[in-house]
Amino acid sequence: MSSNLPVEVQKLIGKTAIKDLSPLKVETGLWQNFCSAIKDSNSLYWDKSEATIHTGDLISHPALLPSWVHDFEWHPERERKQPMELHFMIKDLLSLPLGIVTEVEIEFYDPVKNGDNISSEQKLISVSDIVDTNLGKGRYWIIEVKYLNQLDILVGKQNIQFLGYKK
Amino acid sequence: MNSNKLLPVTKHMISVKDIQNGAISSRDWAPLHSDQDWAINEGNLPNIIMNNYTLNGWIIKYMTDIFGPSTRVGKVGFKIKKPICPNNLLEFHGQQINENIISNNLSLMQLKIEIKVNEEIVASADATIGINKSNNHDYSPWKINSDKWMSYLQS
Repeated sequence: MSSNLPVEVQKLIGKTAIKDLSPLKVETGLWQNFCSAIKDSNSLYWDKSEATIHTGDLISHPALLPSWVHDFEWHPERERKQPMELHFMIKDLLSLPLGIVTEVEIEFYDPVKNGDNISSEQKLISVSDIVDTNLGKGRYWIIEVKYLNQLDILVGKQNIQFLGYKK
Repeated sequence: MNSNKLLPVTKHMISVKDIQNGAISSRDWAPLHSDQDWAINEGNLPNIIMNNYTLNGWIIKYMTDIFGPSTRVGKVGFKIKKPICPNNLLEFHGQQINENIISNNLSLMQLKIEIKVNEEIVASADATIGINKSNNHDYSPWKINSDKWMSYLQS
């Protein structure tokens, strides 16, 4: 564990700190919008007859798994919540206002389909000592996120490393 | 089985709209992916930068374009060494480094991918994918139940 780490941050290490319920259902049009942005024509995301042969139905692009717990920018009834809330908690606790993703390891188990509800569990794994980077002084931290569907089946897991820094 | 087969190189010129569109369609509202003034003046960055979901999307697209749409992506690990910004010409260079033959019809491939801009590596990835070696859809890697699939990924 890193030295000089605030006690509030030390207490978070190794514990599931945030559980996020899916704010919206997985929808075909939402993932096809992403596929369009990256020009991905894979038939499993677009062509029901072809997808049925392999996956029983169309599937969401795997890269979108973490974003199924991100809400719209604005909603008429819901207060907006920060995606990856634990990351923002740590930034605040460490007084590091800026943050970027530097490393990701993600595993995909069951495919995600139209109508699924994805929830997540976020756990802080580690925090580095203070480092000097090109962007400024900061720290790295790793958060593990598990993704479950509405049947409580684990559909994927990721470890994501952030750099929190200040100018 | 070790192998060192080189995969085709693909190139994509990344625009402002590509980065904004990728971030917004993955509901990543952080301004460093969509607001150029904020990214430069507040984020201390050279420009807006590609978010990690979009980069992962491009990596997965690279693999499934080569190995076919029924490719089952099991694991992707990637490191971002330099921010990916508008007007970067991304070059995807891949290598198949290992093949684990599960059956006559199914292989797990391990791939290494480097993403370069002007010959400099800006991101690198390691991935594990399952592919059907036959033309028979009964052997699609998607037919493997999730417990068995998870055990393949851990092995």
